[in-house]
Amino acid sequence: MTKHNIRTSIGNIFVLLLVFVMLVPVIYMILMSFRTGEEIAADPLGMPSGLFLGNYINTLESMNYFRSVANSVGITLSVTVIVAFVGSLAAYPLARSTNAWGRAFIMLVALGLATPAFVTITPIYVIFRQVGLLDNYVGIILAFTALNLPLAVFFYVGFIGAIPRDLEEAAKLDNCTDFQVFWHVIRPLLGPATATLSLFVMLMVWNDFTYPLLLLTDPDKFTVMISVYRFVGNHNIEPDLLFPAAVLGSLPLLIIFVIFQRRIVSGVTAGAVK
Amino acid sequence: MLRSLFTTSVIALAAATAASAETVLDVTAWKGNEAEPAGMAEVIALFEAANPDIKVELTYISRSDTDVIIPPRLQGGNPPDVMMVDMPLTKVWGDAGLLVDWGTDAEWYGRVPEGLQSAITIDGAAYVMPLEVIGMGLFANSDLLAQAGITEAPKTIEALKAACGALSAAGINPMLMTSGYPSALFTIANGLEAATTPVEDLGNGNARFVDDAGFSAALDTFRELAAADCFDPQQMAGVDPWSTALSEFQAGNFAMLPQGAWNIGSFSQNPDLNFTFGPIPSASGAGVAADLFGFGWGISTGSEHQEAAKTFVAFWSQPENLQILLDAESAYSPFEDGGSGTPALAADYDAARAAGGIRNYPFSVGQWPGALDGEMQNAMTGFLLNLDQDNSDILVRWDETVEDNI
Repeated sequence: MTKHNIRTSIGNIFVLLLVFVMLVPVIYMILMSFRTGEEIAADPLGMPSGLFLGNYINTLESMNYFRSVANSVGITLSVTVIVAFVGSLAAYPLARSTNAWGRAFIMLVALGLATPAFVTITPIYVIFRQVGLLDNYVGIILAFTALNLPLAVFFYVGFIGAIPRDLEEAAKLDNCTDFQVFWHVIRPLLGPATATLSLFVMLMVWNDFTYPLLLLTDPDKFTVMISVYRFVGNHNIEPDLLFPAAVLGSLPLLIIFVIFQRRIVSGVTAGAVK
Repeated sequence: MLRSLFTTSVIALAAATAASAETVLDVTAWKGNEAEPAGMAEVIALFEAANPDIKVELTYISRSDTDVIIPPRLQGGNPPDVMMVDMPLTKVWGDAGLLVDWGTDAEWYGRVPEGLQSAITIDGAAYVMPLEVIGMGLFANSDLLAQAGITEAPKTIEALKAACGALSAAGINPMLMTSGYPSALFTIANGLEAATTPVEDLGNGNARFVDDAGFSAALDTFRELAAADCFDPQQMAGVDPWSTALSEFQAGNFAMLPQGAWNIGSFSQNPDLNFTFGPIPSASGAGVAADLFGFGWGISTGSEHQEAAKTFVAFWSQPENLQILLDAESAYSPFEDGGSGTPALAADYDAARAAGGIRNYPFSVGQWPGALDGEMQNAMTGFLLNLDQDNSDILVRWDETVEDNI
């Protein structure tokens, strides 16, 4: 074995170890989900003695799982699509703007990124109550869209700025309108960026339970994270219910990530090599 | 079996009557979910059966999330009808006119013992109907103590030191005196017992911790326990009090843990864990029974169903209904005619209370500002990392926190 191979092997082992360390909480969560409450209480770090599926059955009965997953998927996908479309549409003129107002507006949008959630929560609630958007799918989708738009605009402005103007000029020579240029020339080039942005937005919307808990009161409209929240107490947890609930709660998102993995990774690395 | 059958029948009856319900009560609470059921579902089912025209919709919101979720609803003019509140919330929302004042002539108010009455009364107003008083003390693993030749959980500091020595010699981890809450609880309990000034004066700036020999002595005691091998302070500074500490005690890896009685239910899940719950060991007497006034019901002034809300809250004040919550929580009734839900394993704590060892946890009755709670927990974590700190440095910081939050 050459010196180079040995170094590569050591590097690979180190990376694998790092990956393992990062996966330990996930592995722990999955292993614990197959243990009874008594087993976990007696030996919190022990291995399951078998695949006890009773926890999953009890959890599914308690958390209205399929309904809440459907709600989460619907809300998450709606928000992601709207944020990607409106964000890219808003970012296009801003990225091409050369005047001071455009730059000032981008800074204003960036300010939205730095605004803490607790500052916006009361105004959003008060406005939504006045316009009748409480306990309503449209309301929660609009709220999440508003919260994620600054990120999308800021994200797309940088990405569109790197697209050569020559492509747009060629389209304009063919009599394309500004929207047609955006739709037929710019938008297809935003694929990798959109995949990456979608990942961030999906994670944020899927995992958040503060806004659904505030804006939704009908249990039939609750998201999966509110269902998982049922198993977390102020001072303790029900491990035999919480761990399966956490697995079930994160499973749909994991499946989505596996499906779109290639696009997401290419989006993250886009621009790294020219 | 009979009780389950009865409850099932009541729930079925409640479901049948829900169809004809006219009033829907929006109730929020940090109890009543799968992790901390607190008998809520049972009592609500009984209430709905007794009041077929009222349906209760309970939403679980944890205590920390209550601070985030409820204020926008109060400010937005769409508050829950009934909210679970503790004294810090009662003070803020009551002062802002957001909670209904029951008046001190309310039926349940007269049944609250005098000490608690004064704690829950703010400028003559009674905004909160208390639901429970819960103990904070010392959990002790009886089997591990027995292995070290100790027959009963220690109640004095000297007995605790001796127990720690015997446990260490037997190769058993004596105590989980972790960062944050457990170490703060232990120190506060000992400080309260030995305090030379009125407790409320320490929280309103009329007296200073740094001048109180009792709290300085409590810090000295803490140092002595570390020297007596009760715990490894450096290690304990890194142990999370709300996850690792609980599972370590539950797994039988440590002999003692200062914590709240609300853990009795979850610790009992380990059938192999033979444990007792007693008072916090102190310098003298039978130990400190650190009673916590946990929570109660408050009615929103913006509620559209105030009469139904009052009916609901009054229902909880009836001893037979409240007992369901007390049993589930291992807590004590806040009413003179109420009972106790503590199991036999908490007999030592019951005895300490009966012997006059009760010390009300000052934060839960509004005697000390809430900000001091966090400061004390942080200070004890820092103290674990450096036991050579001067007592007065720590106590002065507590005084400064009080001054900043009066």
